[in-house]
Amino acid sequence: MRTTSLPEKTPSGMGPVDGEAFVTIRGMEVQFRGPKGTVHAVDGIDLDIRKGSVLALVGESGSGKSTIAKALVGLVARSGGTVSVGGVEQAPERRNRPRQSRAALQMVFQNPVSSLNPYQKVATIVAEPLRVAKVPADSRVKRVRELLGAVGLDVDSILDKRPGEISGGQAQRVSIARALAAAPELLIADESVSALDVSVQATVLNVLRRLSVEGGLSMLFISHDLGVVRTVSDDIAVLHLGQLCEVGPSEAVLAAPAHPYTAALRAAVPEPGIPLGEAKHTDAEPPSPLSPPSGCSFRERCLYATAVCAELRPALTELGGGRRVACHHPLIPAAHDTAHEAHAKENSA
Amino acid sequence: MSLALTAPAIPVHAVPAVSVQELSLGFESNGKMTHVLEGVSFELAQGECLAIVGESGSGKSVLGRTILGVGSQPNSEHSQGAVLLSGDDQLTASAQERRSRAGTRVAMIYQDPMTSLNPTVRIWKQVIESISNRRRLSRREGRAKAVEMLRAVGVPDPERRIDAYPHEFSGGMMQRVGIAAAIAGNPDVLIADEPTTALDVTVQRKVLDLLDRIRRDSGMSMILITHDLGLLTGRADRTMVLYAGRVLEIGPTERITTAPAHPYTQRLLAAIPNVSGTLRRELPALDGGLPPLDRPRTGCPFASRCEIAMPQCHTERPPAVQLAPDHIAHCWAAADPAEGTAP
Repeated sequence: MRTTSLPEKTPSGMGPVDGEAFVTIRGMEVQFRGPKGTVHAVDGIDLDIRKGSVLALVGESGSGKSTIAKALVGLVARSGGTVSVGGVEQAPERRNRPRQSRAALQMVFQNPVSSLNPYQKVATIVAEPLRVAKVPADSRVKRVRELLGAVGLDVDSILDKRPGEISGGQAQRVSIARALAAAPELLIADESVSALDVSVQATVLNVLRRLSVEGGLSMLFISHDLGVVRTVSDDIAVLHLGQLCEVGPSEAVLAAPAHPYTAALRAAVPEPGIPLGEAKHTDAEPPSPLSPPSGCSFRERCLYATAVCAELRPALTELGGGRRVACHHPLIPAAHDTAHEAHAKENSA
Repeated sequence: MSLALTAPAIPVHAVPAVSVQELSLGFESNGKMTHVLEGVSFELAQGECLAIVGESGSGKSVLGRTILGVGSQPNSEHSQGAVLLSGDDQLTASAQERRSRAGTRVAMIYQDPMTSLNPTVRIWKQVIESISNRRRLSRREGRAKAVEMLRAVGVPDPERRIDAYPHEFSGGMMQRVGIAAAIAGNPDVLIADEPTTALDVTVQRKVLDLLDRIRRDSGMSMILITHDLGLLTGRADRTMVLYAGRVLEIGPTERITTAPAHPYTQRLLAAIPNVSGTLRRELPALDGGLPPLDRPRTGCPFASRCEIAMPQCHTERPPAVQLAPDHIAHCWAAADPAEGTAP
């Protein structure tokens, strides 16, 4: 119940603190076998989500964002690696996890209307996790009202509505309220605002941010929209073809990407009134997950690739400032290089 | 049209590629009227790119389909005004006339190429459909034309790819095939309805660059329908903002995206999370929703969500306020000199 009664704040009152990892993912692998071969959808991922912070996963379609989320929840069985949440090891499959563990990880999906039962009233939808948790009926009603209030909905007018009678933004907030009803330790939002109009999206993003900052809720936030990611997240992890390119604090990473792929994504974001600059990737097509290139999976689209990129898969290395990058030619140098070199490199890029 | 080589001393009176005049559309279902468009007017010059921007329910897609002349036609009793394609009205045209115009005079690119192409038909037949519907093409001619079109839109190895089926293409390549099919009939007007919404940003850019190039090379006019105000800079000459079936603002894209006059446009821009500039953790949300569409709107459709709404905004239809030669906002606040927004 901690998450929505919004009691404690993080020590600084807002934003990230250097807390210990609450969710720890080590060496996660997910493979899909098909008639044409095996796809390594998630190919050895190490990630931490700090308590009360928001980690964003970004990358193009097919990069493995959603698969990581599903493997974390156990909807897809990982084939390798470990996942621990709050120090508790999680079995690969959801059905092998105790009920308490299952409730601790809650997911909010992309399409709010299709993820809610159209025949049920909002009050029933949000009460469902409480009923499963055997919360007595009278406290259930009270709790449902609290939850709907916490996501900024007008409680009295919405309780008796059905999903078809409310707007997309309202439906998505009902989804969030339902997820919160299970008192999760981690909320996983998979493209949760992508289907919403801009005016409505802002409301939902504000709610999510408040739940994290004021409620101390930890979150994995998946989105293809870097603007949305910047607004809501503390840390960012950039994925390409199932591998991590870059990890670090969102503001630092987006202000000065270290991986050429991050730079390419950043340069492709269109913003009102700002003409797009030069593309920061080659014209090559995104590689096929069935036959990924040798070495670095981004090298065919990379402006800086050299022979070594085809031979060796780059390992994630520390850059300092909580940043890690997997690149043979990072756009900002590793911690031991001089700042002067960094500057020269950025200018030449 | 031939152009004089000397400086145009007298402006040539050109027929606009598209002229929409006081268009109102209503659909009836279950005995209820839905007023989808109300008094929409604009012109699209030859070779121009006009963006139509709006959120869900604004009527932007219906407007696009009405110009194309396909899909469910509104109840004619409840449609008024005119939609002229180089002077020919689409609203009063017979179904046969509209069909004959589709593909050659006006064509459309859809949001999801996966569902707008037939999954069971080889690519080449679909690309040349707008031509083969009209005149007999030999197999050889047709295939050669398809290769030419696919090459024009940057599909690699077109000789081999024309025999593929849609599912064998990536999303970005498939959208190129959709574009090839749309421009094969060499239409005067190309309507692109959310052409890159289903694509990754890196691919989006390439597809929009391609559309730009086609428009510049061929001189065709384009209507770009989108919800994304970020896409327009450097691509659309003018932008029209649609809300609940009404035009709220129309003007040069530069002005609409950097100095919008209508409160709705201003709020919409402010609500977009930004990657450049100052980090905003709290976005200015725009609460409320569209007014009910089952009755004609009195006053301004945005009034119920507008922070600066005045009494007449709820009761009287706002005037068209000319803010610059080419910039019009339909807003009482813009009309009031005391607000300081009028020129």
